[in-house]
Amino acid sequence: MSAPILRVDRVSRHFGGLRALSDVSLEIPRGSIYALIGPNGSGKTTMFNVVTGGLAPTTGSVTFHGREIGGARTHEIVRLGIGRTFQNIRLFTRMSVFHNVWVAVRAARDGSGRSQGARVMELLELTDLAARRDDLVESLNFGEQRRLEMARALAGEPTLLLLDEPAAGMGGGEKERLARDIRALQARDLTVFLIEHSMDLVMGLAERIAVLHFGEKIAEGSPTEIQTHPRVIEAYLGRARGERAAAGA
Amino acid sequence: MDYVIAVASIIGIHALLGLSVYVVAICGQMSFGQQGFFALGAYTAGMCTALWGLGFVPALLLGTLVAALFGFVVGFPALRVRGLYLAIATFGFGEIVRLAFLNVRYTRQIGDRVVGPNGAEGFRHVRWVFDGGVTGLQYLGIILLVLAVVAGFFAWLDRSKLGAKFRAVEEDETAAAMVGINVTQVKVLGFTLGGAVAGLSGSLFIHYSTYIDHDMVALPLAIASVTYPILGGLGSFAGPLLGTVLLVSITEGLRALAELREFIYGALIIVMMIFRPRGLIDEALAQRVAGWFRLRRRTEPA
Repeated sequence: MSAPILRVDRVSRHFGGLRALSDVSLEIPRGSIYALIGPNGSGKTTMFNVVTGGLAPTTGSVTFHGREIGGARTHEIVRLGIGRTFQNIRLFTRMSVFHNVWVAVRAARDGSGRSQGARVMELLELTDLAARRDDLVESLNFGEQRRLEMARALAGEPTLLLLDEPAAGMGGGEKERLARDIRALQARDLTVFLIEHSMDLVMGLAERIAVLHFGEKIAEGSPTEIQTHPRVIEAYLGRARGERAAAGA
Repeated sequence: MDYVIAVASIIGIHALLGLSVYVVAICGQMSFGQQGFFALGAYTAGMCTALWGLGFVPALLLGTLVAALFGFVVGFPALRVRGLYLAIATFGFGEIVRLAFLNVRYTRQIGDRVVGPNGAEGFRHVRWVFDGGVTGLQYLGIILLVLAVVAGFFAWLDRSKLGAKFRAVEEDETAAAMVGINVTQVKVLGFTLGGAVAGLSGSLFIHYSTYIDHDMVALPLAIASVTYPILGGLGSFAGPLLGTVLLVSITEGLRALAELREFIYGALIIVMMIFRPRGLIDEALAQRVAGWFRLRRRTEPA
């Protein structure tokens, strides 16, 4: 197996007495679609924040392309080639659709205004938002806002893209489209690391899945292995028998 | 006529102060301490010409530089607080500067005058401009020239990569960092630029009035400088300019209102916060106007 693009090695993150992550190790193979699942509060977003530099790991190390990034600052990590979307969409709401991507393109690279404008339009074409370029963010529907956030995350030309619950609030048709979009990104040589509650999406899309429960990794494997893993079934069904199982599966 | 020149001069000087609040605000920081940088600039520039025998232009530059340096230093602790806490902390900085000048005595006897910062007496006899035979109208020209240069810089900033970074940081620091923006750098730069422009404003002011004391850089000046961009708008550099012209000409133009100034400014801040939180020239209006210009350029025959 080739060297992993991202290696999380025995990372713990404590908030006071709370152990949000305990001794978690992950290896994300280059070019793969890798999913992180687990019940609410299991530490998934904390893991994303550790990888993108919002939080320093209390112990352990994070290496990206073989380079230590644990505790580095977010903008430095972004420049190394990591992009990210947020669970609660964080767009620049006072800017137009175009400007949301434009500011990211300009922050990421030097170059003339004309070539940067062309790059923005390319990303808006890719996410099917070109026709909305002059619209305000608030006029976009939910799915469009998620796509815009993805376009913005791609502006820095990342090699690893972190998607935090990209399907949250989406209906069936939108989810199918999202799955197509994510596969298209993989075809463009991107590695995708996603957090997702929608089990049909995760099981159909991810090549490998890691499961967090109370900050610990309780399982890792292929979708089939995860679906039949006793500790996973216990974590999901044992805890919130009704709603989470129904919403997830 | 002299009265019109006086009001116009105050508008020019205060417009710079409004711009200094604006540049700090568009990277997400509300400062109630710009009068502190104004005072630092004024005292520094005043000492340059009245005590140290420097010319007017070096005095302006030095006043600007010293205030910029203080802006840079204030920028770091300011990173740790936001919102209301930042407003109070920056006002605290302004008060520290004011109280420092209330206590600083650094004077020299020149002829029959005591010149220099003199505690509660203030800093009198900064007469470089007047002794040089510059008329009020000429000095107004200088003020407007400086303002034009600074406004030109801000017009560039609004359209530049740097300006885009500022506004991204203002909207959402986490998202801004996630598109590769160095948030610390942007916010500290905002305070540095804000300090510089407020210092320049103070440098111009002391040579206009020949005099400054601690009382002139207290809370009322803080409120006025914040009201300009809040009324005029945060969507474009034209916002604080518009706000200053409106507010100063109303309060200075109608003498009866001068005594009600604090009341008017306070009421305006509240009204704007409720009905138009981004001011008269907000982002939507600024973008619409920019759109008209683009349209006209596109439809013009080649």
